[in-house]
Parts: sequence; structure tokens; C-alpha cells
Amino acid sequence: MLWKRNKLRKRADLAALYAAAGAARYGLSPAQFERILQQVQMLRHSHGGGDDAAFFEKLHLKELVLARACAQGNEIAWNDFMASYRPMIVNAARQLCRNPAGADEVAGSLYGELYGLKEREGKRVSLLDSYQGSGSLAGWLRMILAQREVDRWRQRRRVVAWEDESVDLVDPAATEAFADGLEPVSVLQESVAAALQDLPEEGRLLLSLYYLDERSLAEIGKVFHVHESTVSRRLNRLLQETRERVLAELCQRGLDASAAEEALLTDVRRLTLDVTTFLASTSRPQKSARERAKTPLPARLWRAAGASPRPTLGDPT
Amino acid sequence: MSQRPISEEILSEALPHLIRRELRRQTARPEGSGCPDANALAAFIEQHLDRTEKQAIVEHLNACQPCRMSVVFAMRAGQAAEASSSSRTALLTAPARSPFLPWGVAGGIAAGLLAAFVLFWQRPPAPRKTAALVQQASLQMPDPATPVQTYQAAISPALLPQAHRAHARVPAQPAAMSASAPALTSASSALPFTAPKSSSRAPIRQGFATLTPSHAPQSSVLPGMEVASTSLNSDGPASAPPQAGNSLPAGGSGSFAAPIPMASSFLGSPVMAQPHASLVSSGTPMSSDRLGFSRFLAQGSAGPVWRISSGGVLEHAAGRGAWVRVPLQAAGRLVSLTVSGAHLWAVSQAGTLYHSADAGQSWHPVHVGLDRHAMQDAIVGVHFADQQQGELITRSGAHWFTVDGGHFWRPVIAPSLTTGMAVRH
Repeated sequence: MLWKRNKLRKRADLAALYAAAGAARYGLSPAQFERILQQVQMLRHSHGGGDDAAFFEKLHLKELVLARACAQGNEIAWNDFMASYRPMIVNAARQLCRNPAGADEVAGSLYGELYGLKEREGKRVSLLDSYQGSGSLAGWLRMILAQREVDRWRQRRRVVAWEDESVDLVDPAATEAFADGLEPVSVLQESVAAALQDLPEEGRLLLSLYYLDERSLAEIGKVFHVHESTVSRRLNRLLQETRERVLAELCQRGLDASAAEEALLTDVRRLTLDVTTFLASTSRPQKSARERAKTPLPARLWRAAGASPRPTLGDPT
Repeated sequence: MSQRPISEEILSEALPHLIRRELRRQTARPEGSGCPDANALAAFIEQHLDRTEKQAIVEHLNACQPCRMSVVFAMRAGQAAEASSSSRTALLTAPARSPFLPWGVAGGIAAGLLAAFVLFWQRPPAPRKTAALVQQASLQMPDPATPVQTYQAAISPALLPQAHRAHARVPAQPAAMSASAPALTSASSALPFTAPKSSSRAPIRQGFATLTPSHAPQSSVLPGMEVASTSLNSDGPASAPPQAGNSLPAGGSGSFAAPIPMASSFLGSPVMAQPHASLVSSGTPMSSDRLGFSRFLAQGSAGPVWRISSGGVLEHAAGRGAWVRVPLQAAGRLVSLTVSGAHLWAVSQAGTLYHSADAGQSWHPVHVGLDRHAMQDAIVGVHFADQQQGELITRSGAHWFTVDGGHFWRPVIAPSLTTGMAVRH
């Protein structure tokens, strides 16, 4: 009897959800509506699961039904969609592309994907089928546009993978400066790595957005839903914590103040030199890391960095 | 041996570079590996994820620059749409201080002080002041040489507010009439009547003395006063309180422009009905009879005249006939009476109001109160301007009025046309 009672309650809940979603307006039957919910629920369970009732309450049911009805080609649904979301798509595209031509191109390509110009196995393939209702339809559309724009931007800029450069920043020759076997630069790098590892995920995301992506405080504040002044305070606090951890790690690893400072200075100069070298060599074919390590650096570059060239580094024999 | 600390300057200069480099190294991952779809990222932006899901997204964003860029771009694209609606960031910013806030605070303080001052000003006065203030009001007998258009208790407007505060029980009665007046009104014995001055504001009617309709009270001294025409009942018989020594000027000429106003007998009030022109012209003196009562006749009316004897008994006389007692056993002694046509209202010494709609043939007590709650205070006087509108006063000085012939009463605290005391409307 319990399963019957649960079944009846489930039917009642489904009927309530069906009515709340307004699926009848777009010609969706209760069976079709239930299939949509099951599909969304399966995808959710594949990512972790949880309480179904709470999950359905948080879904944007009306927008989900609208999206799925558009994917099926319902004219009423498309009329509603264009009336409600077309201005938003155009504005978002212009906000991203900063030029009308590019914005129209992005928006036009998106319309085609949303409508489902392509077919697979005789069935229309619409991008709206992938909308799951966890966020608003407008937010989902903006994210689609943003991802499209990131792809276009990366193709235009020919971004070099960051991991290719990071390895070159450490000159293996620098490790020979200390006879006791300590590698101050390596130790420094490990200390910084340990310090960053101890930070919370949101703190590291903040540092990544600020130092790697060079986003403004306002943009970072939008991501975290806080004011930019809050972002600034958090950033300062993170830097302070990182500094203290780095110092603690350096001391723990046996570096005294002089050695740590020397390592820091060397590292900074090396960074400067590497950037200068990179800029100077952009027109020439890229050398591999091993080749670059073997090539001595000109003395003038050391002097430009404010350091005296060491016999072990770069002086031509 | 203590170690020298690392130079802060050097560390501060190097730290951003170190962080940037390390983050690059840690966040490097193949493109598209395990990136969340647009649904998850959109839900992350809109904060529709639970804690676990959000943590997973943040961990991924830490390691994936393209996804970070997508999130930032999506936020940028949504800025225009969210600018008009209040976002969560607005809740975290300091609220803008209104430039009118100090003025609002000052206004609130001023309003509070004003309210306190008004309450203090409206408080009930000390008992000693009541009698003194009442004595200051003056009532003078009308000048027999001039057409008496009205009998009015003249109260100096300057005294009116004080009178209100004092809740003067009565307006007074002429000194000559105070001999048999109850102690309640003894303090008001020196109040004469005065005739109104045509050019001046009409004095406020005091007690239940009447005004001529042609001379509607102009008293705008007190707020909330009824500037009613007192159009008085022309067929109302007059009555007189048990007063001794009262005599109206006899003789005189002139006519009365208005019908005789209905008069009320109020305990201690300067009960004076406007003498009939014919009586005046005929020289019929209005003098006290051997029992010390005055007889007043309605204007040209042969109808009954009502009075309350010295024993508090209701009596009536038809025309110039003898006074006949009207049995009102349940009421006991009467202290106030008001008449309007065939309707009579009488107040017993016990403070109960009685009403008769058939010229005194039958009486019934009147319930005065709010809803089912009867008024606990004793009634000491009643006056009706017509058959519908009436007013009564209680021992504590409270005023109640009715506009439906006494079926429903409610308290008032605005200045009354009749008593000059503060009543509420």
C-alpha cells in the first residue's frame, strides 16, 4: 500500500508541476512533460544526486518547457521565445563582441543552433534540448554566447599554452650557485606551491582571475557576487597569508634570510630576463627548453636587469 | 643566534611574480577535459548550486582558464540586463545616505515635542482653578431697552481655552438665581447674561442658553464648534429650573425676529427662554412665583410649559393653567430637562437619562454608552437642539452627543456650542 500511496502522491506532484510549468500551452502532454523531467533527473543523478523534491522545486520549469517546446518546433513556443529572449541575445552578443558585425554573426549562428537546422537520424537537433533548467534560460543563453566568444577569441589570438612557458622560467644552471646541494630557486618554487596549495579554492580562483586572467576587481566581484572593495580586501588578505606561508616554508626548508632574498632576487631577475628574451625572440623560431638552457645569456641582458653576470651563467667562455 | 628576517620589500616585489608562475603551472590542463557544461556554469553564476556542486565548479575553474574566461564573459554579457534590477552586490554595498535624513530626524523630534506640549496643554486642570475660571465668565441680563435677540452667556474668547481646560460644569446663572441652585453651580452664581453685540463675534453660547437663528453664532474662536443655526424649535415649550429670584425685565418693546428658541433646563445653567414678544409688549412681568420659580411661556404658544420644581419634580402647565405634576417615579428627583416638540429628555439626580416621545405620557430610560458598554459616569445635564441632535454632560465633565434622537450616543471632546467646553467630535 505504501508504494501505491507514493505513486498517487507522485502523480499529484507531477500534475501540480505540469500545471505550474504551463506545458499545455505548447501542446506538451503530461507524458511528454514527465519524460522531460526524467531526462533532467537522470543527468542530475549522474552528477551526484540528492533530494528529488527539492531538486524539482529549484528547476525553472516554465523555461524548461519553453525550451523543449521550441526544440520540437512548436510555433507558439518560438513566438514566445523570440519575443522574450531575442532582445537579450542581441544585447549580450553586442556586449561581448563590441562591434555590431561580430555581434550579429554570433547571434545569427546561435539562432540557427537553437532552432535546429541540423538533423540527425531524421530528427531535428536543437541546442535547446541541452537546457536542463538548473539555471535561468537567459543565463544559459549568455553562457553559450560567452563560450562561443571565448572560442573565437582563442582562435584569433593563437594563445600559447601557458604550461610551455612555465617550465622555461627556471634556469637549471642557477641551482649550481649553492654548494651544499640546496636549490634555492627550486625551494622557493616549492614554498610558493605549498603556500598556494593551502589556500581555499575560492581564494585560489580569486588569485587566478586577478594574476592570470588579469581581470578587474569589478569583474571578479561579479563572479563572486560581492563588491569590488570586498574583492580588494580579500586579495590583500590572501597575499598576506601567502607571504607568511612562503616565509614559513623557506625557513622550514633551511634557507636563511640572505639565501632566501638572493633566491627571490634571482628569480625576479630571471623572470625579467626571460620575458625580455621571449619578446626579442618572437620573430625567430621557438627553441626548445633544453636548447635555451644551453645557450648563454648575453651579459648586457644581465646588466639591464641590474645584476652582475655570474661566471656560471652566460659568460661566453 | 637569531636569524635576520627576509626583507619585506624584496618579498613583496617578488611575490606576485611567484604567484602568477605557480598558478600557471598548477592550472595547466588539456582543453575541454572535464569542463562543466553551460547549464552548470550558468547555475554557478546565478548561485543555484548547492555547496558541493559549487565547490566542484570552483575547483575546476581554478584549473581551467577557458572556463574562467567564459564565466567572466557571461557575467559581462549579463551586466546590461542586471543593471536595472537589484542584484546581490547592491545588498553588500553601503547604503547611500539620504541627504534628507538629518531633516527627517529633526522633524520627528520636533513632532514629538509638539505632541508632548499639546498633551500637557490639554491635561485636566486642578479643581481649584475650575471654579475661578467659571467665575470669570460673565453673563449679563439683556438690556430691556433693546430687542433682545438672544440670551447668551458671554465668555471672553480669551477665557475660553481656560474654560475648556477647566471643564466648567456650567455656565453660570445669574447671581439672583443662585440661591436654590445646587452647590455644583454655586461658584457660577455671578454670571450674568449679556446681549450680543452685532459687530462683535457672537459669544459662545454657554450652558444651554439659546441663540436666535438670525444670529448664528460666529464663534470661530474654538475649533470644532458647530456654527449651527440653532434653529430652534419654534414650538418647544420653555422650562425653567428651580431658581429663585429670577425676574426678567418686564415691558420693553421690540419684536423678536426669530421664533422662540427651544430652551433647556440645565442644572445651574442660565436657563432663560426668550420671552414672548407679546408678553413683553403687554408688559406682563416674568416674575417669580411664591415658590420661587419663574414661569416662562413659549412664544405665542398655548402649548404646555414644562418645569422642574424645587423638589425635582417634573411639572407642566398648559398655557396659563396651573402646574401639574408629571409622574416619573422611577427617575426620582430630576435635575435637568430639555424639550423639543413632543419629545422630552430628563436627567435624574441619580444620573440617568429618560426620554418621552409623547409629551410626557410615557417615559423610558436611555442607554448611553458605546456598543454594549454603558457609560458609568452620572449624567448631570442634557440639551437637544432639535428632536435629533442632542448633547449631555456628565459629572466628570465628559460630553456625549447624538444625532439620531438619542438612540446612539458617542463621546466628544471638541468645544461645544452649548457649553463652550472642549468636546470631541
